[in-house]
Formats: sequence, structure tokens, C-alpha cells
Amino acid sequence: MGLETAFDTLLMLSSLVLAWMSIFSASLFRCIVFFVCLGLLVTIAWGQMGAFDVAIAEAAIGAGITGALLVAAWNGIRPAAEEDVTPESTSADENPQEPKKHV
Amino acid sequence: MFNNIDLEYDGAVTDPKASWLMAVLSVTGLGLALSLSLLNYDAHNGGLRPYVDDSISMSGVTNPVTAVLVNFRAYDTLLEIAVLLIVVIAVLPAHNHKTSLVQRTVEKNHALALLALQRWIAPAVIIFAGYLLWAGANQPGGAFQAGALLAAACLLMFQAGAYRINYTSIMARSLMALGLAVFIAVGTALIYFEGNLLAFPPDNAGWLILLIESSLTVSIATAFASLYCSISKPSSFGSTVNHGSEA
Repeated sequence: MGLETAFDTLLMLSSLVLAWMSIFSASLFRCIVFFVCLGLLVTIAWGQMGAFDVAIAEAAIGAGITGALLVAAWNGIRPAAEEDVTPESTSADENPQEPKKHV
Repeated sequence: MFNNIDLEYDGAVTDPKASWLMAVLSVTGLGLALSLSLLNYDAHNGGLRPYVDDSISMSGVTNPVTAVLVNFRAYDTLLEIAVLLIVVIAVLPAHNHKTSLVQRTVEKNHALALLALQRWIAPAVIIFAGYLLWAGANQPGGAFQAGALLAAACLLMFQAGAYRINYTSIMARSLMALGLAVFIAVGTALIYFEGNLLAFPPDNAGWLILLIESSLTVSIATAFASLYCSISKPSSFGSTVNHGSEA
């Protein structure tokens, strides 16, 4: 088994893992970040197959523009409580011994 | 498992085992079928590659992907651009400002690091987009990639808030429609001159393809940038409404 095959296998397995994580991650933002990472890995995979046109398109549209669109949409739908959490408001709680959850 | 199916039911899955079984069975079946067909298919010698290689000298370009996209299968690309334009029009903001394309805003809190970064990166990205467009004739590259890069440069440039683009202005809308308009104009003009829709004459195909691809690049860049803006703009007033309905 050559180095090339090992690299391809690693690429395949990690894109499968990233695809899984981009669907089933805990928070929506992590899903978006993993999706962009998946796009970059798939770019390398297209390059390995010699389809450089598709690789460039995947990097520019799949990872770049789609990632920006997803983050913009996430900005629109995320709950307002998440952006209101500041260090002052959590430290000024009634029970200061409770660890901070949101940050 | 499927005793009384309620079509109106809209809640959580009641039988997780059944849905897991269905998902696993369909995914493994599809995966098996796809891998079997992939193993039986000789990708490097079969397919349409010999036909493309034979007639590439008539297409006006030397990159087979560009030749297929803009010359041999130009009709598909035309419809793709139309679909993209329809999507962009569908999500465009409804209120229509009769102002100019680019406005300078008087915001005080400019992000200085972002401004410095975009001064370095944006010109390089724009030049690289032009290179990708030009290189599409004989090596990997082309209108879609160049357009996406230009859109990325546009998003970066207008992230800091020093300028604001009005995507509902006449100028922006005509830039969005330019690609499709040029494509259709060239296609119908070729009906008159050559007798067929989008039948490029081998002598003039090169510059016709370059003309179509340049206008497509501008349109795709405007389309993607306006898509981003129309998704991200209404968040300022939409977030509280969404939160109330979800909670």
C-alpha cells in the first residue's frame, strides 16, 4: 500500500467523519464550521482525482460562499439570549458559584 | 410499525427503531448500488471523453471543461444561469430604493483591522478572479469560479460598513441580468448567422465564449453578493420575532 493510497484513505475517512459532524453536531454554528471544513477536504479530494475545475468551484462556492450564506442565515435565526451573554451578566448572577455555561 | 398512519402528524418520531432501520437499509442499499456501478464502470476509457477530445479544435478553447460548459452543452449553462437569477430575484428585498448603486455611509466605528486587511487582500482577489476568467480558456478556471471569487472580494470589501451597496437599484439589477442577457443575445444571434441556437462558428467561438464568460462573471458575482446581503440584512428586526415564536 503506497503513500498515495494511505493519503486517499485518510482523506475519505476524514471527509466521512466531517460530514457526520456537520450534521449531528451539538450547536448549529459548529455544524456550519464543520461544513466549511468538509468543503475544503472535498476540494482536496477533487484535486486528487484530477478534476481541478471542480476543485476550484468547490473551494470558492461550496466552502466560501455557502459558508458565508450559512453564517448569515445563522445570524438571523440564532436566539437572542446567546448574543446577550456577557461576562458581567453571568458574574452578577444570584449564585456566583455556578460555573459559566454559555461562554 | 405502520398501523395507523397520520398524515397530519407533525411532531417527533414515535418509533425511532423503525426510522433507523429504514435509514440504514436505504443508505446501505444505495451505497452498495453506487459502489457496484462504480466498480463496473471504466471511467478513464469510456464515457464522452473521446468525443470531446475529437471536437475540441472546433470549440474555440482548449480546456475540455470550458468547451463542454460554454460550447457543446451551452444550453444547460444558460438554464443554470437563469435558475440562479430566479433564486436571486426571489430573495431580493421587497422594498425598492431608488438610490445609486454604492453609497458612502457615515459610520464612526470602522473596524480598523478589517479595513487594513481588505486593502491588502481585495485587489489581489479581484486580479486573481480576472486571471481565473482568462485562464478558463486553456486550463482549469472559468466564469463560475471567477464570479465566486469576485463575490467573496465584494463581501469582504463591504463587511466593514464604510460603503453600502444597494442591490435593488437599477444598476445592480441590470448587472445581475447582464450575463443571461448576453448569453441569450449571442444564442439568438447565432440562430440568424449559423442557423442553430448557440451553434458557435469555429472561427469566432473564442471571443464569443470570452464575451459570454466575462458577462457571466459579473452577473454571478453580483448575484452571490446580493444573495448574502438579502439573507443577512433582515436579521436586525427578524431575530426578536423568531425568538418569540420559537420559545
